[in-house]
Amino acid sequence: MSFASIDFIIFFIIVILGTYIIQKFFSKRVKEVFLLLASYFFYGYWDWRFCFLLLFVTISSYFTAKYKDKKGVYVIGIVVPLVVLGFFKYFNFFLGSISGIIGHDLGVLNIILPVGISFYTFQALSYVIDVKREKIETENNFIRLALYLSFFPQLVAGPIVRAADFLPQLKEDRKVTLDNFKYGIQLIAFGLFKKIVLADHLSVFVDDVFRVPVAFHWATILLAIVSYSIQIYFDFSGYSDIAIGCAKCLGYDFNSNFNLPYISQNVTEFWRRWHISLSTWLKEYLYIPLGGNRKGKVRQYINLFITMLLGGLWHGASWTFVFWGGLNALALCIDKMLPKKKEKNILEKVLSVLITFAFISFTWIFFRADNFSNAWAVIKGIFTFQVGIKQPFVWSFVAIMLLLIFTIGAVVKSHKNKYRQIEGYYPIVNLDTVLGLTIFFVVLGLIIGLAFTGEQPFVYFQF
Amino acid sequence: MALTILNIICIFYYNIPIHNQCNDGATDYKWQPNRFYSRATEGFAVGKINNDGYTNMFDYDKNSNIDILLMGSSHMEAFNVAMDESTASRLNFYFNMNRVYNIGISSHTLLNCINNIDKAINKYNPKYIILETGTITFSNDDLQNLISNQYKKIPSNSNGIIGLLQKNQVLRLLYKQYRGFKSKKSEDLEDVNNDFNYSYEYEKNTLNQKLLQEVIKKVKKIISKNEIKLIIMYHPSTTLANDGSLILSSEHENIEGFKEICEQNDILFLDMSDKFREEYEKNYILPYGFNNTSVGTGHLNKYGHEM
Repeated sequence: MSFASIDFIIFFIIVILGTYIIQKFFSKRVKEVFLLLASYFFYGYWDWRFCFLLLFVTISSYFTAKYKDKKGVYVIGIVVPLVVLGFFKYFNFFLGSISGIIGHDLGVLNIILPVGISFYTFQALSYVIDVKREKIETENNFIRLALYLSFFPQLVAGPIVRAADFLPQLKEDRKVTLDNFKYGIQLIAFGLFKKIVLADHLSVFVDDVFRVPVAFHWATILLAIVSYSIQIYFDFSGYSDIAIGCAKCLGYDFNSNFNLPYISQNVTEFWRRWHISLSTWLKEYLYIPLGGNRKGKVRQYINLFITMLLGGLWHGASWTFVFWGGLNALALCIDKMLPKKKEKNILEKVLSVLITFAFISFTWIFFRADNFSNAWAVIKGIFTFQVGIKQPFVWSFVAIMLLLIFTIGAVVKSHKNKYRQIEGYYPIVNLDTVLGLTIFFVVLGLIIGLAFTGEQPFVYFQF
Repeated sequence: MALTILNIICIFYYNIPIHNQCNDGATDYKWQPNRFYSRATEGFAVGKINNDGYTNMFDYDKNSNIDILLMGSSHMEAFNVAMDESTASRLNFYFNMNRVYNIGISSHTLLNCINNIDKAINKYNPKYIILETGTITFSNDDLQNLISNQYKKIPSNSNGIIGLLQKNQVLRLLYKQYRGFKSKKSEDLEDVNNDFNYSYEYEKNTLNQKLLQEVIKKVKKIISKNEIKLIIMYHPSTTLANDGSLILSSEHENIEGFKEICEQNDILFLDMSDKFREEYEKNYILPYGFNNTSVGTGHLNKYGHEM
């Protein structure tokens, strides 16, 4: 069930109403069971068989965390989610790669990739590790742990919510309230606008160009690359906003997953602003355990490469993703080598932002392309000033304009509030006023009226 | 208040008149006359429906002479391009007079047009008729129904609650989107799909020469009686192949058979395939698609109309 579907709207209304009624008349435990069942229904809507996989990972995490001090149990707690992820996501990839190396076709297994597997296995890992590190207490309530791993707003495409952030909220008496609903519903609307109006329209153009790059004019290809940079941002941050909004409506808080990534002045800053829940996860559970920056420069660069290459692979079982991770690692290393200038003037800042955006957009080519030859055709088309179809896609300009407006708004707001750095914000209106309600319903009307209605799943569903 | 604001936005974004019953039978239905329209969901166009209920730059005057009558689907209706960029307008500019009249209207396939051709002749009395079509293959049932005068008219849905609701543009847009969400398809392409997918559906079938002969003979009888020259203009759908070449839907065996039947009956069959290919190969111009939709699919764009 996708967030951008009529099915989800019906489902969400039932869950909100159900939770509201239950919290009024029943205990917290009943509410947790209800939300757990709703989450499994949500997940099983794609393929009910994978509910058992989710349950298996949950049981494994529950018991291994509980008996973490027994020899080998902790290892099982780490290995099980990794094996599940490795088998379902990477088995055929490695088989194919080995086939390529030895020059003999080893065949493939008919494996369906379960939606959201990369997210809930990472959450399971972080839970077991955090318990072992004694950062959090062992969760003895199975229902609660199961709900943490399967909570439907973040189940299929994140954000990767940390047990330390979410389990304490489950223990509190969080409720569906009108205030939470008024705030959450606006986040959902904001996310939907990003996803079904902007990202999905952009995908039409991007898909056209990436399908047949040899047919398009170089300027059109360039516009498609910029469009993809914006599409993936609106798509994924839109999803995160909806997830955060849904959780908020139910009374729970998720941390924000994006913070204006395209105003970053270097790649290091970009990774602090892009998919924050993943980058902090990788930092905490991979980069720092590898040694981080504590073992000298060379080790730091190696650690960065390992982290980013695996981060790339996490996104998809393809060498193009690994290469994309490698490019980002290279940029991070170069950034670490360069001397840091204390204060930049406005021109230098703008130039840094543009260079970073250009580099990130270049790396997205490998992220989006089906394979290396497809990526090469895109790059070649630009650098050979290829002639072909010219398509000045209107939605690209609309999206660029809106991105600029909101970014400028955030810059002004941050300066006004004297924030240490530029912070993103949600345009929340007061729904208690006629003006606020009017704006909200106009936006809602625009979302439905302008939405792209073709089939276009969230980009991060595949991960 | 929100509904009012949305309606104001809709005036420029999606402002489509409703279909009325066409009493003279020249088409199954026609638009509300003298009505402003705008549409930005596929291409962008604003214009005014003429006093006769069709998209012409001039009003219909029953005393004026019409040399060429254009009949066809939403492609010919040209709701996606500026009024002066449509085939009809371009022909009028070319001949420097308002003697090309367009009664092309959405969802009217070649068979709908043939079904209405005698009534259209009675009303407009043209010297030439151009029938526009994106398909040349039809189901046997449809051909049979046409021959036996049982071909169904498309209802206008202008009465009752549906007719009333259609008058509010916001509700209409929301309904269009709802249908799109439900079918996971863009509703703008629905008309095109009606025309094109029709042909895909039956493409695998070989052309039923016998039934088609009968239909064309029936048309010939009507046009001969009225001394009219008929042109069937066929524009194939296009797809870009992975190597960047253009694939045309006309590349199947039925086209030669259809052409042959037309020639046998003194009907000029105008196949746009070569022109489409030439324009793409020389100038990288595609006849379909807009700068807010997918490349090469959908309705005829301004280049398509020009070709």
